[in-house]
Amino acid sequence: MSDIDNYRRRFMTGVVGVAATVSLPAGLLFWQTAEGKSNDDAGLASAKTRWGMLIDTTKCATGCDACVRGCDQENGLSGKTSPTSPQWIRKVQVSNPSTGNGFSLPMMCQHCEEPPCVDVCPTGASFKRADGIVLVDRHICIGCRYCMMACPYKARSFIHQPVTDQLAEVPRGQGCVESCTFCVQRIDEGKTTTACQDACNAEGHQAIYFGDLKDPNSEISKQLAQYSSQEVLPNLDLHTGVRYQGI
Amino acid sequence: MKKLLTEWLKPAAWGTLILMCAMSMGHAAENTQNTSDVPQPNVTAIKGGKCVENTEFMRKNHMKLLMHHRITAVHKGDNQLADKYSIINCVNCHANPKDNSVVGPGDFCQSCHAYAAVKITCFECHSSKPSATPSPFHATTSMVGATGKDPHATMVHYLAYHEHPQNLNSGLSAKDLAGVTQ
Ligand code: HEC
Ligand code: HEC
Ligand code: HEC
Repeated sequence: MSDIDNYRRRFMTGVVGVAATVSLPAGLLFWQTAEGKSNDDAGLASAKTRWGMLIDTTKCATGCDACVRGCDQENGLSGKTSPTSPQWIRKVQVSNPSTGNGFSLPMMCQHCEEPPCVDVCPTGASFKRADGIVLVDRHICIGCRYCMMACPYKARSFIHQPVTDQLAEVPRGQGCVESCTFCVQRIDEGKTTTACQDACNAEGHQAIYFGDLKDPNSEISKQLAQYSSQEVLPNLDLHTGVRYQGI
Repeated sequence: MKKLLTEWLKPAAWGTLILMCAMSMGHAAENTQNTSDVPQPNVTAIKGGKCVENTEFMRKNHMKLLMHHRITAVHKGDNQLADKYSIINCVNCHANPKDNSVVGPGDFCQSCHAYAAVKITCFECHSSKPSATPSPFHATTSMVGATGKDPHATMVHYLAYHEHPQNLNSGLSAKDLAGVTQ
């Protein structure tokens, strides 16, 4: 080995040594920071949870729109269904032309594990929380509506008109895209039901289950384990958080 | 003569200008609450009690608290309604009972922002009226929110993001800051 190689080797060892001593305390510091914060993080969205929904279309009643009204009330939506009115849930009537068999189901943001809306967002406003809820950060949203075009479920709405008399818990306003949030304002308060689910139960249909997909003891996990269920458009491999029985 | 012009007249002109500025500022201060040598708008906090941090700190830093909290709240789900830096909290305490709002003429946020020529769009989306269900946080009755979360938690998050604000002296204990600030 030439002298110059030896010199290089010594030099590199030195550099690595310096780098190690510099980075070690920094690493310790971050570790300490994480330790110090662990208590505070108790109420934060965590990847230990994945919120999901199961809709039993065999119980979902044709002509009933209780879930839609429940959602409108919870989130301060107008309830109008014009092409420019924001709608977070739509009731959809599905029928098979060859058999004549038909049923209805609620369609909303499917809270994909691989959300296309997040992929296309140019500002980072469209994002997925650690607990699987797909949201729009309306502080960052510029209203370009790429996400609306990317969404295969047509789940997102754009607010065309100024909004007044918003609910304190659900701020929303002109110029931004919005969609089902799994009632994030309830979840962050520690509640575990959504408004559509409550409304459906109040009608006596019990067609909507909501809960933590990662908790094997949750009602939704038990249902999913017992009965077969499907994603809508499973070929897209989006691994949706909303699944349907009987479709 | 030329020397006199450059050496004396220029500084003299500057001096007059500075004097005039100082005089007009003094005049502005006369029309407002004169608690310090800085002119202050006439801001009244409607509901009693204490603000979420001390008044001096809030006057200077309320926008930083809000701007920071909105990131932790929306992205991390940081207990939005129970949290003391929630914008809902500010409105609940600071709304003017006359028009039930913080943004009408003469109302808390508006009056001060008009004075300072600040324009915010927050209340295009956020409710400017106190919410029917009052927030669980109340500075005077409880320092721990409904979720049992340490009220300093968000401040600690805030400090972890930004440097330690020099003028913060509102009871942050060394324990709160351990491992967060350097
Ligand atoms: C385009 C609508 C919009 C505008 C404009 C807007 N926000 Fe928000 N803000 C929201 C939404 C939506 C949330 C999320 C609420 C949720 O997830 O429950 C939110 C949440 C927040 C939160 C956390 C929740 C809380 O109750 O405190 C804060 C703080 C906040 N915003 C501050 C601001 C401030 C300050 C401004 C102005 C500079 C502003 N926002 C402007 C829509 C908006
Ligand atoms: C528990 C009631 C309460 C809450 C909640 C509250 N405040 Fe206050 N705030 C007060 C009171 C009372 C004062 C006046 C204290 C004084 O005069 O010394 C004040 C003072 C202020 C001031 C300084 C005004 C001045 O005189 O210059 C600002 C700015 C302010 N608050 C903003 C906010 C913001 C922003 C929030 C929400 C994060 C908030 N406050 C939440 C009660 C509250
Ligand atoms: C004591 C006077 C005062 C009061 C009261 C006050 N503000 Fe401010 N606020 C200011 C000033 C001054 C600025 C601009 C600071 C700057 O530009 O650095 C500002 C800036 C802001 C900003 C940042 C704006 C931006 O575009 O960066 C927000 C958000 C804000 N205030 C919210 C509020 C809310 C909400 C309230 C009522 C609860 C309120 N403020 C009450 C003086 C006040």
